Amino acid sequence: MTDFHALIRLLVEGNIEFIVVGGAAATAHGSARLTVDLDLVYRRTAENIARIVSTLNPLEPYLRGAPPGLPFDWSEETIHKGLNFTLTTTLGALDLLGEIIGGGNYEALQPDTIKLPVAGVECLCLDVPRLIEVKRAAGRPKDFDAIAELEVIEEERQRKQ
Amino acid sequence: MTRSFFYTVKFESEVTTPRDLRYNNRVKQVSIKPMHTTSLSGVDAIINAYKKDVDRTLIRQNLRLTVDERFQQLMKLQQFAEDLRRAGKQAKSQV
Repeated sequence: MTDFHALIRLLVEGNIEFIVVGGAAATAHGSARLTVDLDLVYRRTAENIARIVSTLNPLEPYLRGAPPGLPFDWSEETIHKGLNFTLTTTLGALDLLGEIIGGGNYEALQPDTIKLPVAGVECLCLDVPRLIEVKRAAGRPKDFDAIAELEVIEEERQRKQ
Repeated sequence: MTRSFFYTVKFESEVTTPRDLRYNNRVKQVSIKPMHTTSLSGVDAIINAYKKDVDRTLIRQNLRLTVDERFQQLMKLQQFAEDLRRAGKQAKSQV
């Protein structure tokens, strides 16, 4: 089980620069779909990577789906050498993404974020129009029903206004 | 956009079994047509079809919740999904 509140709070209190994307972002906007992992795009500066490593270290991050016992070095070097990491932690499933298909990296996404008040803190979350754009650009058939729901969410929000 | 092709093969006689394919191979017509991957308008049509099935009452209900409440609801749903999965495994092992 993923404790979204605890994860987000920990990341914000660790001064990590990140943007919530994917299913968790959709939940934040009102989606009724089940998602089991927290997807976020992290800024790939040396300082932010150092903060990510030190903040998440106590959560024993490990590659999700990897055979148990496979050596995995949770370090700044590992993050620098890689880009996207699907992790399991003591607080649940966390996807650390350097960039996303159809959207790009942190800097490319930041202009289309909103400040999300959650778990007593505030973090950045991709807005609905950009979430739709990213999923459409990725062009995966498995996302078609998620895109449909996001478009309905946007329509219902416009209706309320 | 990638271009794919499919073949239409019409046989003179009705092909009903693989054996038929081997021995009744009198081909009447073969046509080769380009099969385009889904166009943008095709994607829109698919998404619009899915939109009809989105439960707007659930969305409206969720839009009345705070962000915290939405995540709490998600975590309860996660727990329920896990409970169901466990129950399903147990039921299978008893069969």
